Amino acid sequence: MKQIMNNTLSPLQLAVLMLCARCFSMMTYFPFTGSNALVFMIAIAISAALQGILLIPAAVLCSRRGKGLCEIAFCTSRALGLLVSGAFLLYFIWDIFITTGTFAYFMDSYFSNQIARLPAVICAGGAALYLGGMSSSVLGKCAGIFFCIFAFFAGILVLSAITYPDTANFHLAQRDIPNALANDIKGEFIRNRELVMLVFLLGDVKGSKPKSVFCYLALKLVILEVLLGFAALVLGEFALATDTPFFYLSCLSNSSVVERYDAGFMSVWTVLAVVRLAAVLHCCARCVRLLTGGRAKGAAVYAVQIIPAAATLYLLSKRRWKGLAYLNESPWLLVCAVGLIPLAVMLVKKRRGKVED
Amino acid sequence: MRPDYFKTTLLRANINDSLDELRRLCGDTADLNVMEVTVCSVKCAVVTIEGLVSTSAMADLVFQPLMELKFCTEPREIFDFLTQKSLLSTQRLTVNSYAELVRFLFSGFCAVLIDGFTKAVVFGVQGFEKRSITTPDSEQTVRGAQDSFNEIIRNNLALVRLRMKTPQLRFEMLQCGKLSQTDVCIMYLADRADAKMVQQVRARLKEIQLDTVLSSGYVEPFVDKAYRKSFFSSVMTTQRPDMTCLRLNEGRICVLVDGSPFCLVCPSLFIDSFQTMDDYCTKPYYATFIRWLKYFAFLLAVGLPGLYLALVMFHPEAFTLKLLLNLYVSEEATPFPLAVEMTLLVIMFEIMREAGIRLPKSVGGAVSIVGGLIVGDAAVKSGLISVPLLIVVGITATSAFVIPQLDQQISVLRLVFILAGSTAGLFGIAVCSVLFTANVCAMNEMSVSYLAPVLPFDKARAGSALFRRSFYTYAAKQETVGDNCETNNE
Repeated sequence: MKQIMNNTLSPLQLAVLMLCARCFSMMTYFPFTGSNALVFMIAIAISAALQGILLIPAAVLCSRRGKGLCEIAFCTSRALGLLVSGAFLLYFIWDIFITTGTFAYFMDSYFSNQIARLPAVICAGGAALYLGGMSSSVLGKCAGIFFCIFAFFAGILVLSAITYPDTANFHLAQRDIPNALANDIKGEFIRNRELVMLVFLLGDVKGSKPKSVFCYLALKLVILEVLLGFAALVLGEFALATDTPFFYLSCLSNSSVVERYDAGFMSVWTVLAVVRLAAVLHCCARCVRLLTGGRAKGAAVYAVQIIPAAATLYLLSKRRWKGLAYLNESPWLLVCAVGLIPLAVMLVKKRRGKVED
Repeated sequence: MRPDYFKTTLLRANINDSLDELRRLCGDTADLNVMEVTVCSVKCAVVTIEGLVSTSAMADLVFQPLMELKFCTEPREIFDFLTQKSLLSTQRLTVNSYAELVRFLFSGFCAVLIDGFTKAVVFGVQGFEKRSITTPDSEQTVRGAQDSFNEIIRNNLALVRLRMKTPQLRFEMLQCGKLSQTDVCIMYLADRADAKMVQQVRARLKEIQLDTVLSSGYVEPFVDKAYRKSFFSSVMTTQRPDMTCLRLNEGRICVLVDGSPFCLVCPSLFIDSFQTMDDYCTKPYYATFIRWLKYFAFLLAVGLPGLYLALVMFHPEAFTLKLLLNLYVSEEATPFPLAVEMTLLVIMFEIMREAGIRLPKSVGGAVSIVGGLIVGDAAVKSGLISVPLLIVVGITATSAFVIPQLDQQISVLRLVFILAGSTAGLFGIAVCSVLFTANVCAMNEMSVSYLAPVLPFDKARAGSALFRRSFYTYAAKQETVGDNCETNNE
């Protein structure tokens, strides 16, 4: 189909696609790392600001050249292009591995009566492969629909969850606030793996790239602050004790329908998981195409994804995923992929330009 | 005989040779009528195909003027009389090859061949039997027009032209089908339709290499490039001339096929299926309400059975205790598992619906009574199926009737969701929804997204998906489908 190659996104579509990916992470595992909701909410805001700073080189570079980061790197030199695409490919393989496994693990933990972990991986993976094989434009449109569903679902949850607001968690009377803030910022930052996808897909944006970045960061900030603020307000101390405060919001609902919302939560969460996985698969396939100079086509593009899928299935079948599900990655990995690589490409490009002049 | 002999051979000067060649080409077909006559000492022949011409029109427009013709000595004079000095018919053409001659003869024309002249004159004197213009079967309206297309393309063109008295309305006639040589007409408003889209449709129609084109369905896969890959169709059909005009005004391109009472409209959007002519005959608030109702009915028709199965089989906690106990009691009495019961019931419904469509109308009603009432009632009384299940299927079936344009898609999607819901509960339904949404989002016929103007989101036009705007708004600015074109940055 013609549209398969139509890789164009509006700034809002890219932002919404990334939000779907972020909301999946938030719904899966999002503990209050500190002991105070207010400090954590401040940490989220600071983390978003830091992410904004990190994304500046990528946004500026893609905006000036009108291309994706990898294409710019290839234009500068083939070696740089291969290096950048290879780095992104490795990160995406890691992301596929973690996303698939985490989804299956939590599906098994919370909804074991629904579907076993291995069929869950196969079904969600198959659907993600189908969606990921389409253009980023289709991904953006799908993300738009599913984000609306998520917003509707979250809206109902929040509106019906107001029982007795517990403000005990909202204070700044905490020991060693800077340290707590630093921990919270780190904890929040490492859960933003979709930032790498954002950098990779920025070249597809038809319109203002900085606007897309700003849109994503602003919307994410609002959603996280509102939902977690609400969770802390409604759940009180329990919000700090659980890893999935958003999931437990429905427990204290006024409505007897929303009270039985587990199945609804699961279906929205599944949809977001598939969208996230599809976006990573799409990026991964494009990296493979770039690395092979467009020679890899059809199923060959997805061959590399067998590695993370096989590893995930092996670890899941051996019931060894728990360690990975709660893994705290190093933030430097993300800093490199999101900030340093675009910066390096920018500098090399600048230097090349000067030499040529 | 070479395959292209028929196309390239020119008419002979000797009338006997010409007639022999014509008879030979047509294999002495029984319906070829050749009437040889001498007009002012020049040998002529009037050739027609039996049953395709009007005898009275022939007598008045051809025979009588020819017989009254006097003082002609040369074939040229007769030819000039027929082509320049008389007005015998509204359709008058000259042909010089057998290919053209045969095509006109088989379209209901009468041909006059003159001895010593290598051209024949053809007159439109069609008089074949045709169905009169009746009310549309598939798109009934309460206040809209009550006429519909029939099988004759010229009639259909006239019905559209009557409503659009603008020189911007263009009809382009093509012939498709190597054997059938079916007339296919592209209709568009020159100032509204995107020139690229018109060119695309024209090129696609010219690509058709079928032997026969017997209905609009033959043409549809060629006009809709994503026909095989997409679940929905980006080409809609309508039987209504007024709906055709509405779509033409929106910059769409319509295709009429001779022999088919349905007009193809391309590119079509998802929201088109939820709009009828009645929307424009009622108050905007009511039309908006009906539009919302149709969206809801679509969701019910597709998802309700699957959702019911998923909730009952995998998430019984979603029901209140009282409802759950009621369902439990009903299901306990039936012998089949819930999923089997639902699948059988839905398939039975589809069988009855299909039987009702194919049978004559008078018998079709009886099928509904026997199938729906008698069998349904007996099945419940005998304990084969439960009452809640029958209610669910009944609601689903009724909801599907609200959107007849999406009938085929709803029937299949419903079964897919039943399968997904019964095997993996809401997880299965969620995965299926992603697949279905991805397929719909990928539809981008002629660079127009099937989900436009909602996706990609267009602030100015998205409202029309949910609300029927007032005529003052339409008067202020007429939007066209070309406004939704996505630029391809390949």
